[in-house]
Amino acid sequence: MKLWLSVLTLSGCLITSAQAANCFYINSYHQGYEWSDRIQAQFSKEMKTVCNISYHYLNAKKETNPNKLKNKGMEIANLIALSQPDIVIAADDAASEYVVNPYLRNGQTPVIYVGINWDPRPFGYPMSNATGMTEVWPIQQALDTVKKTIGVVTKMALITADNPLENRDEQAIRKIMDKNDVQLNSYFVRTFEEWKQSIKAAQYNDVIKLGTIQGIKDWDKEAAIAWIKEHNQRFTFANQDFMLPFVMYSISKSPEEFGHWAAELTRTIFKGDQPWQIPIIPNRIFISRYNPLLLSKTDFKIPDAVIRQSIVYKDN
Amino acid sequence: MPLSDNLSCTKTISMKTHHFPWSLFIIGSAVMLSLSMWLLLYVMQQTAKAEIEHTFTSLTERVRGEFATIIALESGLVANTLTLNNIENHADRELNLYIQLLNNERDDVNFFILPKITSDMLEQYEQEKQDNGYLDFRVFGNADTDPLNSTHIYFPSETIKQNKLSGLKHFGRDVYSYPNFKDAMDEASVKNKTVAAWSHVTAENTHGITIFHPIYDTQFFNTLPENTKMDHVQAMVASEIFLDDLIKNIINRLDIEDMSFYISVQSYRAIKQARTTTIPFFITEAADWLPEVYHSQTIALLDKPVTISMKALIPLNKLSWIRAFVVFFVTLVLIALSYLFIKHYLKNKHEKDIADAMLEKEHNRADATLTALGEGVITTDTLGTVMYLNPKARDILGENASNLPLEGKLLTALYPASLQTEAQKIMDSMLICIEKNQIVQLHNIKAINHHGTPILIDCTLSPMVEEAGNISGVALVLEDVTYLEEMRLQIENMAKRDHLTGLFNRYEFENQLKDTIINAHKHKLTHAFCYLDLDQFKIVNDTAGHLAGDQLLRQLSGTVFLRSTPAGAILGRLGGDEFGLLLFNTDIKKATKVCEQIIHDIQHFVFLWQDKRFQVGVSIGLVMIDDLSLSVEQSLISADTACYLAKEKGRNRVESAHIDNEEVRQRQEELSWAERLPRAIEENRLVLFIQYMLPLNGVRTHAEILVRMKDEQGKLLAPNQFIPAAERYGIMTKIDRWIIQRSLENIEQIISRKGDEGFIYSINLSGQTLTDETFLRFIHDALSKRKALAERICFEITETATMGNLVQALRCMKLLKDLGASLALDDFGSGLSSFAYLRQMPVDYLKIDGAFVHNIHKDGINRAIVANMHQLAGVFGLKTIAEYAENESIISELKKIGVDLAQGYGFHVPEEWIVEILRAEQSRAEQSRAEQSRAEQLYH
Repeated sequence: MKLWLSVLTLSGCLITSAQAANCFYINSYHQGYEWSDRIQAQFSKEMKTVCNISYHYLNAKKETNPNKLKNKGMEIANLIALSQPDIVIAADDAASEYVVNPYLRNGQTPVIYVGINWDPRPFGYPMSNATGMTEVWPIQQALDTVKKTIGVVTKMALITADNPLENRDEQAIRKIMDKNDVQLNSYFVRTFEEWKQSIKAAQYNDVIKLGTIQGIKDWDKEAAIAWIKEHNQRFTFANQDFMLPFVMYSISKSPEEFGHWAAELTRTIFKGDQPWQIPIIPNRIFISRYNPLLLSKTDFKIPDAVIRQSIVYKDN
Repeated sequence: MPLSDNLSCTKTISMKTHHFPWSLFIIGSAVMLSLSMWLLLYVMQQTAKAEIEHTFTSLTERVRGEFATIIALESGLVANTLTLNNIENHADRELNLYIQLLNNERDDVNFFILPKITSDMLEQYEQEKQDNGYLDFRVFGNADTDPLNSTHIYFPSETIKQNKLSGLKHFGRDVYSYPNFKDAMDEASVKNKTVAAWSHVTAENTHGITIFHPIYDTQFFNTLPENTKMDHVQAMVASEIFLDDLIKNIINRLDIEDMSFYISVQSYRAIKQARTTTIPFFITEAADWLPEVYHSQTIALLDKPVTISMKALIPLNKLSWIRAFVVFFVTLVLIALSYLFIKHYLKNKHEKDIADAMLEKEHNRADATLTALGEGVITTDTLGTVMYLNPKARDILGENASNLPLEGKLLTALYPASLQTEAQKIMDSMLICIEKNQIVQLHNIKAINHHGTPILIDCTLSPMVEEAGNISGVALVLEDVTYLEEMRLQIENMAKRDHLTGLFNRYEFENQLKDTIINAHKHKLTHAFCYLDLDQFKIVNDTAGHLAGDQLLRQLSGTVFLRSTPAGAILGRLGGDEFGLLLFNTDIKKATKVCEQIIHDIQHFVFLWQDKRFQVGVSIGLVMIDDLSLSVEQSLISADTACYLAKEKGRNRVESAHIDNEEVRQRQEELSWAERLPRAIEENRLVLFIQYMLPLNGVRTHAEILVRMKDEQGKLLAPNQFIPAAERYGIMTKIDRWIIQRSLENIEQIISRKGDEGFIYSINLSGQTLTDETFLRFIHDALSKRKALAERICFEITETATMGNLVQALRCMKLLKDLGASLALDDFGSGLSSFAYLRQMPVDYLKIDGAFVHNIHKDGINRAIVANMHQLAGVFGLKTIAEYAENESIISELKKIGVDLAQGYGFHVPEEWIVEILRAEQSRAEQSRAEQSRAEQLYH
């Protein structure tokens, strides 16, 4: 009798489990990385009642060895083959590079990608079984604001950490600058000292865009702020909100938009739409912030229309 | 009524009454139930319908309103676009933000700007889009109707609307390539106004109207030729309205919680290409078994007719099941109540039928009974109108009552004119009976029976009381008492008269004396009372016998006294040879003279008996009766005393007992029985005698306990020598108690010893004792715990003794009966001897007065009287005892008549009760034993 009860209970569980859809979420990075955590959190928030979500991490920020990343990608692909999820969500570049493109391209499993920078084609997109949202930076939007703030822009400096991702971003930025007849002078730095020297060296540009600082050795936040205050006289901006302590203005993407879009697409596909019918689009929500402390050291005045739509940074 | 009769009666009635159409009742109930439910449903349905109609009207109004709002929003978008374009060249971001905000606000409209792309710009436009993240962005047209490049103008869709992801497949679609859109856009561009077009069929197969408004690159578009206006269109501001969503949102905002309906929207994808979609709104569970409510209205959105239809179902919750249940329940209750009422009615009817049948049967039986009854029965209403009378009543009331019909006539009509006063008596009594609600008895009402003979009737009137307590009439029971009345009169007369002399007896004479005293008081007159005591009468009795004595008395009464006394005088025999004479309106002289005349006449009267001659004398005590006279008793004592003095002074003389006669007074005092009698009791000078009775008819043997008194000299006095005085002085109670006390002791001893013959002992009770309140407790204490003893005692009472206080006497008699003793009515025939009273007395024996018995073997009348008395006693269930059974002949006659017991010298001469001796012997033996015991103690 007990055995039968156990079987019945287990069957009930399996049936219940089988009735709900399974979502296989691949996070390119690791738990604790704010950007990818927020995308995942938004997706989870919207979909946890719709499907059973399993989360898998590639840890691409910490692990830079391509071979190891490939192996990890293969492990995850095997898991997908075994568990046969109803949909796979690939968040950020590494997930598409090490799992979707090599193992799922044009397969039966629907794939939604989010967070591939600028151009998804290097990762095999478009695919018959995939759609998603490309991650674009609001460079043009930032440039528009800069122009409204400082007037004519002919030269712009880009100071950023030296890594492949930033190099690729720099290409995209350069394209936009070219289109706007703006000369882009890029500084790729590996140490805090290099970063400080680049600040000083870039003062001949009309405007300075600070890229990411992640990966810069000996980074000292307070010293950086002090350095900026002391040695910078140019309008500075960034496209990442965590750079706001060091810049006067930032306009950044919203990770929640990617999480939400992934959830929207998942729901649409669950309703019956085929991924290839849904065009790949870029992210369109950008959030403006400004640093009044740094601005107060200068004569720059961001237009009121922008200020009204921006968030004030108050930490420093 | 026997049970079988009842059953058969019930069965018959059951068959008669159980014909209620229950099937009709069931059908009626079902119809009632259905009607009530239908009515409820109808009311609720109408309420719901009104609500649905209201909802539909609100819906169509709001659709119009929303459409107007959307047009206004689009106008705002156009204005903003123009403004931004005027301010700067690169206003895309702000415009997009604005559109995005608009689109985020609502999901039922898609606001967008269709940029006009010419063929030479197309490649660059597509590349820019791809560079901005729109992978593989291409502008594509409607392959079916307008392949690309036919016009060289493109208005590609680049709208991405949240929650409308399926619309993404139209991303890049050239809207201008669709004829209906193209026409609208052309018209808008020419007229510079908002123009609507049916939306092309979408994947969702929803309804849509898209409205377009042009944005020109110049402010002077009005001056442009019409065919060149499109060239100056920079973009089209468009709004795609999703009608289904619009309606859904409106309905959601209507805050409908409890409706269920379908909304059908009919629109056109092109002219004459109607299409209809149906949106279900199952907000609540609906009663799909009820008819649907249908509303339809066509409204014009710009120039586009949209037909909105609502097909609503009545929501279940509008039906209010609680109310339905209440109505259902109430209906059921009503049906149940109806059922119970009918059932109750039928049951009552059934019971009433049974009762009626039983009543009829009882009525018949009662009728038969009343017909057979020996007494007349009449019932009347409260006004005296006759309602019923039985045959006997007709017989009793004679000719008038025999004329039919009588029911409905007044009771007085039953009486002849000559007896209307009698009828009026009955009517008067009837009023009393009704007013006091009590039984009224009328005695000796005159009537004339059907033979024409005058009769006397007793009439008992009883109120007929209904259940509610109202008196509905009177029942009269008529009894022909002529025979009884005659007998009563005869007996009453006998009771007044001394049977030997025909004069008033003592009882009646005392009454006359009493009346005389009252008369004297009332009229201040003087009368005289003479107490006559014959002298030497005893010699006659002793020498010639009682018969001679009786004869002498008869002759004296019939001749001498009549001759000697004046007219109007009253003469009575007071005792054996004692007479009383009342002289009216006289004085002492005249009275004395009359007395002297009597003395003279008696002295000269010679009585011859056989061969003997006797002469007697008379001593007379004279008492004058005036307004100072006290009482009968006092007068008797005075007269007796005076007579005694007359005797003492030499007989044959008259002695007056007036106040001044000192001798009389002294004598009175000396001879006061009031002193003698109590003393005799104290000195134990009363002696119990016993006289056994002869059972003639198989009854138990009786013995009467008698009393004698020893005078101061030890001489035994007969009862008549001291009992009258004892009664006169109120000492009889003491004597009675003494007798009872002693008798009980004796009887107890007799019962306890061997050889008890089981006699019943008769003890006389005087009238004083009967009415003595303390005697009740005395006799109760004496007998209540000695039932066996009580059963051996029969108390003899005289009728006259009870008359003084009948109520108290009856109470005493009842107590004696309750204690177990039996009762005998003594001297029956000598007093009133009313059978009416006899009825009320709980006596067991009737003791016929010896006056009727002592010569029944010779006197036919007395024999007849005794026989009648015995017969009557039998009617009352009483045993009879005959006194004065002085010889065998009398006893023989009594036996023939059937008298139960005979008492008299013929059977047993009274003797002293020997139990006294036995007790004395026992007492002496006990005393001897006690002395012996004491002596032994002393010796030792």
